[in-house]
Amino acid sequence: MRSDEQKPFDIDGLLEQAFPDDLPAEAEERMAGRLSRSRQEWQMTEKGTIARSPSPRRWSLALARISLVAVSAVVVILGLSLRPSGPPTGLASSLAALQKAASVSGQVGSDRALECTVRLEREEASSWFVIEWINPEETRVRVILSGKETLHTIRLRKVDRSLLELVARIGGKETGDQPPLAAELLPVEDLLTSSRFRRLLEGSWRPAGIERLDGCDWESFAISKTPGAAPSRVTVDTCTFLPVRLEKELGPGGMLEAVFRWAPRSEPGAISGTIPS
Amino acid sequence: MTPPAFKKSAWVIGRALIVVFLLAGVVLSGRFAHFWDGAGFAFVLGGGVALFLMGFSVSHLGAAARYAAGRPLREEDAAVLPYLWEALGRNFWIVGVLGAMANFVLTLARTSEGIQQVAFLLAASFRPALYGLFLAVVCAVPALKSREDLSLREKSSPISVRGGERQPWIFENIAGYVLMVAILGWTVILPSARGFLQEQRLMGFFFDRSALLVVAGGTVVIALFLGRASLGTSLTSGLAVTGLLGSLMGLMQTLFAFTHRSIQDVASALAFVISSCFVALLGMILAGIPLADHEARASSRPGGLAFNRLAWYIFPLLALLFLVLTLIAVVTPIKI
Repeated sequence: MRSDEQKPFDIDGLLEQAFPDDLPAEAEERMAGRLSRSRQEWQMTEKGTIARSPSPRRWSLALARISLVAVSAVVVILGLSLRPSGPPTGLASSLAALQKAASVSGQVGSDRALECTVRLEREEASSWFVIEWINPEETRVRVILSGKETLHTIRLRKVDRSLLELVARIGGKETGDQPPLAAELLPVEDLLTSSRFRRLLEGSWRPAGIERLDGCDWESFAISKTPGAAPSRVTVDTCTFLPVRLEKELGPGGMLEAVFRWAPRSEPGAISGTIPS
Repeated sequence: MTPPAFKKSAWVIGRALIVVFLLAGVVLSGRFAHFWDGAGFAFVLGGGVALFLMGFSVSHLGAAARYAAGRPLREEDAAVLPYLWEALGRNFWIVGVLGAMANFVLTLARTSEGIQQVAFLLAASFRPALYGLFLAVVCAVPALKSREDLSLREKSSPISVRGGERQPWIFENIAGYVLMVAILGWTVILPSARGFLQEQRLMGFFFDRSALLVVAGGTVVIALFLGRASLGTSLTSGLAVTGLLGSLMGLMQTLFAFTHRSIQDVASALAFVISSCFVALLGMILAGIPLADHEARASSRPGGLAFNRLAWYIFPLLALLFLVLTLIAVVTPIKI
C-alpha cells in the first residue's frame, strides 16, 4: 500500500531535479536586481495610488507648492519693480561715468569751434586767457595780465593722419616738431587744441554732483589721472555732452577755472565769467 | 624601425610640429603678452577642478587621469569616463566665463585710467573665457575618444546599467566647495586688500538687488514646475533660463534707453544684464552643477540631458556675448 504523505516529498525532489540551484553568480545577481526593481516599481505604484487618493497630506503639499510659486512670483515682480525706482548700483554708476567720458571725448574730438575763457588764480597775481579755436590748425589766445593784453596766434603744423585715424574720426597726433609755446601760455597749453583737451579729460570719471536741473542737466565729474593726485572737476551739459566748465588745482594756492562756449551747439549763456576791461 | 612604428613616430612628430607652429605663430605675432594672464589661468584651472570635486571624487579624477595616460581602467570607470571628461571641460568653460565677468566688473570698480586704457583692460578681462574654452576643447578630445571606446566595448560585451541610488556627500565634495569659495574670494579679497576698492561697496558692483530677486524667484518657480526631474537638472535649467530672461529684458531696456539717449538708463540696464548673468552663473556653479554631477555619480552610465547641455554651453556663451555688447555700448560715444 502506497502512503499519501510521500507525494509532496516526491514533487519537491522532482522540482529540485528539474531546476537545480546552480545558476552562475552573474545571472543570479541580475535576476535579484530585476526582482528588486520590480518590487520597487510595484511599491512606487502602490504609493502613487495612495497619493492619488484624496488625503489631507496631499492637499497640504499642493497648498505649500502653490504658496511657494506665488511667493516666488511676487519676488520676481518685486525685483522687476525695484529696477526703475532704486538708486543706481555701483556698477551702473561706473558704466554711466565711463560712457559719459567716452561721449564727451567723442564730442570734443569732433571739429568744433571753441571759445574758452580761463581765469588763472595764483598767489602773486591773477590772469585771464581767451582761447579761440579758429580751425584745427590755428588757435588764437588773448592774454590779459595786470591790465596788459597780448595776442598770440598759434599755428600748428599739419600732421598726416593715417587712414585708420580718418575712418575712426580720431584727432591726428601732435608730433614733437611743433613750434615752442610762449612761457605765459604754458598754464593753458592743455586747452589749446582738441587733442590736448581730450588728453586733459583722460582719467577716471567719478560723479561729483548735479549743478543744474532743467532737462539739459549740468553734471559734474571729478577726473583723477593718478590715485592720490588732486582731481580736476569738469561740468558737462548732458544734452550735448560738451564740457561747460573746468576747474583744476595748480599746486599751492593756484587754481584754473575755464568756461567754454562751443559753436554752434552751446547756448551763449554758458559763459558766466566776465573779462576785465 | 618597422613600418608601423615608423608611421606612428611620424604621426606623433607631425602633430607636435603643428602645435609648435601654432604657438610660434601666436608668439611671433608680437601680441602674445596681451593674451597671457597667469592669475586668470590659475582661476580657471583651479575653479574647474574645484567644481569637479564638488560633484565627484578624487578616484573619479584619478580614473580620468589614468585614461589620459593610457593606463588600463576598471569596467565601472569605463562607463563613467565620457561624462567625467565632459564635466571637466564644461567646468573650465563655465568658470572661464564667470572669471571674465568678474574681471570685467572688477576693472570697472577699481580703474583709475582713461577711456582708452579702460577699454583695453575691459577687453583683456575676457582672457579667462579664452582659457576656459581652450581647456574645454582639450577635455573634449578624451571625452569623445572615451565615448567611442565605450560604444566599442558595449558592442562586444554589454555593460549592465543599474538604477540611480542616492550617493552620500563625501569629503572631496566639501573640500571642492571650500576650494571654490577660496578661489572666488581670492579674486575679490586680494584686490580689496591692495586698496583698490576702499571707497567702493564691492557687493553692489556684483549683485544688483533686482537681478538677484528676478533670478532667484524665477529659478524657484521653474524648479517647482519641473518637480519630477532631478533637483540638479531643475536648478541648472531654471538658473540658465531666468538668467537669460533677465539678460534679454535688460538688453531690451538698453535699446529703449538708447532711443531716449539716456546714459543713466543705458548703464542701469547694462548693469542688470551683467548682474543677471553673473548671479545665474554663480548659482549654477555653487548649486546646480554639483547637484547634477552628484546625481550623475549615482548612475552607472550617466549622460547629460539635451536641455541641461544647452544650459551648460549655450547660456555661458550668450552671457559672454552680452558682455561684449556691454563693452561696445560703453566705449561707443553717443552722438548728438
